[in-house]
Amino acid sequence: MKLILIVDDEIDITETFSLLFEVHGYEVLTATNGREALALLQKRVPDLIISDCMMPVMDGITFRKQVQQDPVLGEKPFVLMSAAPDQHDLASVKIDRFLKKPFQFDELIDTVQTLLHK
Amino acid sequence: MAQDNKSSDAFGKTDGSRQTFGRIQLMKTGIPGFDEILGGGLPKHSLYLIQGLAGSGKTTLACQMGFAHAKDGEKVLILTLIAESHAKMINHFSNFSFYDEKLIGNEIVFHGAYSSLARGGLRELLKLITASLSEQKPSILIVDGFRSIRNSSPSDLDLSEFMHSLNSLVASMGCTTFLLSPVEGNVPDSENTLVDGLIELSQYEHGMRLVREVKVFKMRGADHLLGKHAFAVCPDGIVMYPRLETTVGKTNAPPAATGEYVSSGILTLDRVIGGGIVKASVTNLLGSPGVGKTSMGLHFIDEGLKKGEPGLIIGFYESPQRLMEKARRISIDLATPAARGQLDIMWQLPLEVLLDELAGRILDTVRQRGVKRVFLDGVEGIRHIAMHPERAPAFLVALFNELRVLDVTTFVTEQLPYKQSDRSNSSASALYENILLLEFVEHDDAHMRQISVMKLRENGYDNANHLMIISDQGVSVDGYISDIKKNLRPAPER
Repeated sequence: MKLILIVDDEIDITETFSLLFEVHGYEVLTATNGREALALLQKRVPDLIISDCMMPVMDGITFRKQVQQDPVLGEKPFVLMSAAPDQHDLASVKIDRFLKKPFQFDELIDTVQTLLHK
Repeated sequence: MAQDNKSSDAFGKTDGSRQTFGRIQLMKTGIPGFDEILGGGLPKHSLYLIQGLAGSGKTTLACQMGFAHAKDGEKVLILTLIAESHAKMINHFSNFSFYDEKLIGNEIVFHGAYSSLARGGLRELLKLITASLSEQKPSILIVDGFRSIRNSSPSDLDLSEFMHSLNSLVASMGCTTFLLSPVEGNVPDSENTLVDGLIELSQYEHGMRLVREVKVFKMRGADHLLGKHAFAVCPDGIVMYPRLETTVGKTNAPPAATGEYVSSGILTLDRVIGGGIVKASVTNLLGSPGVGKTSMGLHFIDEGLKKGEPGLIIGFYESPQRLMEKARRISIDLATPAARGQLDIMWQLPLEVLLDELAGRILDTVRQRGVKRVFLDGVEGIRHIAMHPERAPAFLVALFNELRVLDVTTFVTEQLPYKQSDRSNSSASALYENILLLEFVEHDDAHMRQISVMKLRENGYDNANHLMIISDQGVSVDGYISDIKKNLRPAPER
């Protein structure tokens, strides 16, 4: 079973995505900010990471920069999402896909399935 | 919370009163009148609570919307908690014309959800809903018996989390969702605060009459009409009647004075009032019973018909047959133009009819027939119909405004109270551009009809009291009453 890490400070989003990915046969880990996610990554290596940009403690761009430095984790597909992309320096990080909020789950599951089967 | 100033959550929702509904996609409800109340429709992919006590019509409302969309090939999922059985629900719908058996089991799917709630609480229920949405991919979800969730005694926090997650879930799945709950009132529970829209159906007794009303407490992302609106449950399902005062005059102001005049249909009266009545104005014929108000209104309509202007007569007390006979006695033929479709006679007994439904019929007729002259015979009928009598003046202001916008010239009769002391209650002045007072006056033990101009906008007029005569040739206006009294002319017979 493929493992997905979802990082977002809004609990209804992590909850909803978890339930939906589980229905589609995925295992899901969740974290509410970048630092919490880095701690989880010490224990398990996901197949794909989905992260919001705007979060307290550690934002999504900083989180991605940290992940990129790891030779194993840095190669895992990384999806970044934000409602306000212009507020973030997206060009400073390597991402596989950016999703502008709001979006529907169909778009997300298509993205995940495409990236995992590349 | 996030460091940045977030404008919305992952699914584009805000918790405030954003003003971006112009960009939000609206879903047509398929319920006559409801979209107008909602400001165009329901914002799609949102979570709504429809509440109302037993028998208020909430299940019918939600399912009527469901059937309307299922007929267009959309999928509708009906999840039931503790509510009536699926078979009973289907049986009840089958009485309505919107019911289509072919849709059941195909576009419209029923799932029972109570066992999940009983077995694993809100978490298990959310899982079931997630799985059902993923499997069925409905565009509309209806959850009937939602009160069962509150009755399962979750903590306030658990219920809030559930509502929050459900809201996100339906938005992410692109599913417009209705929760049906048998409660009333806008209370600060999470069911009310964490939904995007709150709609209440209520019913109450007014004397021996049952009144049904709909109220939209909140509707994020839509410019809905405030306050209560009447609705009816009929064989076609629910029909809503937006309160006229909230709908008219929003976009269209009455036309500016054009300087155009129309004839009253009584040549001798036109001379007294400076050539005629201002076009698209409203004239009040205020007078005692039997003084000739209706006859004057019939002349006004007849004049328009002769010029090819479609007319509409609205009456509450005299049937069309009696009115036609009354017209015939003063040499006015209404039967022929009515048969040709140039004249509509709307006869409505002032009994159990909804005011806004009547207004809708009047305005629809005016628009569809291109009516240019309206004669409202007995404005008291409107006051009798009004469930809330204090509403009648505002309703009339709205109705007359809309008629002016539609370039319609209107005559309205109003009975003068018998007692002089009651006459100060007349609301006439604020409603009408023109007021003509018709009275019986005594002279030498006989009654004469007297007509006086009390108010006439944009006209110079003769403000003396004139004699009014009704013969088999109709109504005419004669000389000054003062001269008659001086010359001791005999008073005409009444």
